[in-house]
Amino acid sequence: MSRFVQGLSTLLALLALAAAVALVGLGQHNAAARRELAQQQQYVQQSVQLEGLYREMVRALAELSARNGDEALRSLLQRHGISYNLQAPAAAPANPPATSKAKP
Amino acid sequence: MSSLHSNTVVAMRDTKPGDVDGAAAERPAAARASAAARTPAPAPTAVHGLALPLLIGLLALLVSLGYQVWLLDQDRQQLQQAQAQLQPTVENAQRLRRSLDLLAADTQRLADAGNGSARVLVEELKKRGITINPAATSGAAAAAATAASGAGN
Repeated sequence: MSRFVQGLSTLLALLALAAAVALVGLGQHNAAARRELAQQQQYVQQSVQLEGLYREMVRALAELSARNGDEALRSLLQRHGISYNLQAPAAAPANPPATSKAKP
Repeated sequence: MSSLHSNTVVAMRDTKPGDVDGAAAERPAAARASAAARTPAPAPTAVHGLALPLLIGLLALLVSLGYQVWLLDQDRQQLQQAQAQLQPTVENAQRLRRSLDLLAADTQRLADAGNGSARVLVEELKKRGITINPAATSGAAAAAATAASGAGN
């Protein structure tokens, strides 16, 4: 009986030790994963702001290219997979501005 | 020494004259036996008394630690799921940033080459506090173009 109790106690103590080690390891792993997730979320949020800038840049480049008939800008946009169509205004004024519709 | 004498005297008073020698020889042995019986329990008995509380404590500790490990494992799985769900968004964001960098670098190069429209745009960006780093290679422009067209569709 004494040996049985001693063996059972040792087994339980070893299991408790293993559980404590696993607890520490899992805690550190989860903390690192949480930090990484927060960084990724911040990266995505910053990229959403940059997306607005990208769209504005593309629109501005397309408008400048269409207004000035700039072939270099047009080919630059085409190299980046962006094309645009010129739409003639319904009532053409004396000096019609070229409106462009960029399609990134 | 004096107590030994008094004990001997008392014993001699209680016993009969004929028993004096044998009883005097037996009494110290009996006293020693009763004294031995009154001493604290030996070590194995003490261990047995502590074994059950120790076992219960260990079991409680094990259950508590096991439950916390289980909770942390659930937490880990949720974090992995969240990361997996966020991964496509992160890849899109990386593609967008690469496209933006390449477009800005190409525009800067065009402006440096003397293109008026590109220079206007670069100046406008500078006014907003955005400076372009022309280090982005235009060699990756094809990949960026593919990514941009893919994102546009």
